[in-house]
Amino acid sequence: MFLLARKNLLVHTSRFLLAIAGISSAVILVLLLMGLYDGWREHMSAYLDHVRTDVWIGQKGAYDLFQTLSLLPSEGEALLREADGVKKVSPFVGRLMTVEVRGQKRHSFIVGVADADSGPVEVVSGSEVLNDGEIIIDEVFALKERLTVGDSVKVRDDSLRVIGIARGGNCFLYQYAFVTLAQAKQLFGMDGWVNYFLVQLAPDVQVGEAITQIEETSPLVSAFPKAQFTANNLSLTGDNFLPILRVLEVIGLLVGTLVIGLTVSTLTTERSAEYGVLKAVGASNWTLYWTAVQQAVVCGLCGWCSGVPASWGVIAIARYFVPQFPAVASPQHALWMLGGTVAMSLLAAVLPIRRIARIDPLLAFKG
Amino acid sequence: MSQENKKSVENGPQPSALSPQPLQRVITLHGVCKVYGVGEAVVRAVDGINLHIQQGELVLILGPSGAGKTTLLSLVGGLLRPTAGEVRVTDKDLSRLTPKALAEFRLHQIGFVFQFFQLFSALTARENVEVPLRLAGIPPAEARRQAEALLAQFGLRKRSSHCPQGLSGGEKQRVALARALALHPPVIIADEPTGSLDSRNGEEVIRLLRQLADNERRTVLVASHDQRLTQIATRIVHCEDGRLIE
Repeated sequence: MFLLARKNLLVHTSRFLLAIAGISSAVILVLLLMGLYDGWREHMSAYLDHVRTDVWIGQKGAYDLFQTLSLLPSEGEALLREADGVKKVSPFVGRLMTVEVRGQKRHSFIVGVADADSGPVEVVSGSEVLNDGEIIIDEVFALKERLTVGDSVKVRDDSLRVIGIARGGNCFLYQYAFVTLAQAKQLFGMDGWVNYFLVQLAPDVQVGEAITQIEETSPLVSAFPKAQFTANNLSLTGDNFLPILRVLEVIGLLVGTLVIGLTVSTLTTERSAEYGVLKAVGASNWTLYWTAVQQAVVCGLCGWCSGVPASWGVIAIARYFVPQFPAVASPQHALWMLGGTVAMSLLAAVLPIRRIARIDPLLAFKG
Repeated sequence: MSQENKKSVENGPQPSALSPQPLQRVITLHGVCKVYGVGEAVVRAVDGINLHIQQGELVLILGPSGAGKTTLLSLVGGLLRPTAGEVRVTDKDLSRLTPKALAEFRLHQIGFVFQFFQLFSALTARENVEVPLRLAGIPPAEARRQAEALLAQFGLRKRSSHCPQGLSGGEKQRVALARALALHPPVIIADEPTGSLDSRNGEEVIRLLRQLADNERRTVLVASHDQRLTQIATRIVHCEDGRLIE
């Protein structure tokens, strides 16, 4: 009965198109949120993944860069170097700072680069060799503030010349920027202190064993494997913001389900006499239920087909106008959404199916 | 009327290899009651009806509105279950059939013709005739071929791609008849088949119904107010207050 299902759907072209627009909007919303969710996680972790270290060592109780404060004396570096199995120790200094751009106050997480281990992910324009008085900014920050190589920004009272533009440092609320370690310490007033130590271990050393040994030797520090430290930093958003996105995704799916359900339900009500005739001439209830399912799936798939490219367009436009917008357009999300659309359609078919079940075949005898 | 139409209406649908096999008693109603409501609001739409109809008979049920004619047709067509009594059609006790088996029974054993045609408005004439064929699991191409052939028999070959809105009342009823006959059911149930037609088209439909009974030995049960049908009926029964008077 696909023929009847399809033709009945297309009887009112404008209503069908409106329904498709509604379903597309739901698909766009869900894909945008999925893209935002993944983009956020990807951007948040890109820099931390890039930092070359096996273990982050911070002040006892500190566990991330953004929510907790870690201060350690610089002398700790020498002590750590002497520990068994330690190959390299680098200081890490970083803090969220106000950056003045053309008189406007902006924010950036400034990292003091001791060596390439804590430098930017990739410099895409300009130089990556930093000297005091120079700064490498993130491309999103550059786009947002219309900065190019050669421009200057002011941090506290120091004017810093932009010598490079890097990518991989967008955390949505702010972006990473890089100065020399000495410059950072001077800007932060942290002479003789660092925030964290980055420890690289010898190849034959187990991370867990090394952490136990470090924490036993120095009870005033906390040590985290790299992956754990990255996860700690993501938890700010993971615990608070990202679940909100999930809730909005579910709302998007519900809206899509409602649009499909209402469309097919209205159609079923309008055509109840025809369903009565179908029952009278020998269509089984299951055949009629299948008709409703087919209509719902056709609506859903049309909405998906138009919604997927539209969502990619929306993401591209959003990223053009709002460079820090971290959403990613992913074919994998589109496939997930295909499954979601089929699920929406099946759920939406429940309402018309209940209607169909109640339709009296004796309607066929009425005018 | 076109030459093609005239010829087809005069000859009626052609018997085919799939025409029903000879049967003696096709419809048997024994003590059939259908009661709606409870207590003081109870309505006995059909009240203790006994009726036997042989193969090839055209039985006309006459009676005023509300006499129980449509309820009787619905009971024979397996659309309603009796409150009491037994309804046997083509040797099947309808009370014992599951809903699925009843649907299957209606599909293969009964051809319905309704007063208001009840064609599917989004489908063409051919697609309307295809509906029971497709429900029976006949592949689309074969269903299409059979539907085209049936429409040609009813003089509607040139109208097969038209939707019901583009057909006259007589054409619509002929499409409805073609749909009813698509699976060669042994029983045709027609409710006021001429009720929405002008006199000329009404006569065409009456002639077709008679040919179905005479030429194809189908059992035809018609409920109608149309006195012209009394001339072609093999038997006339009057329905009044849910009872039959033969």
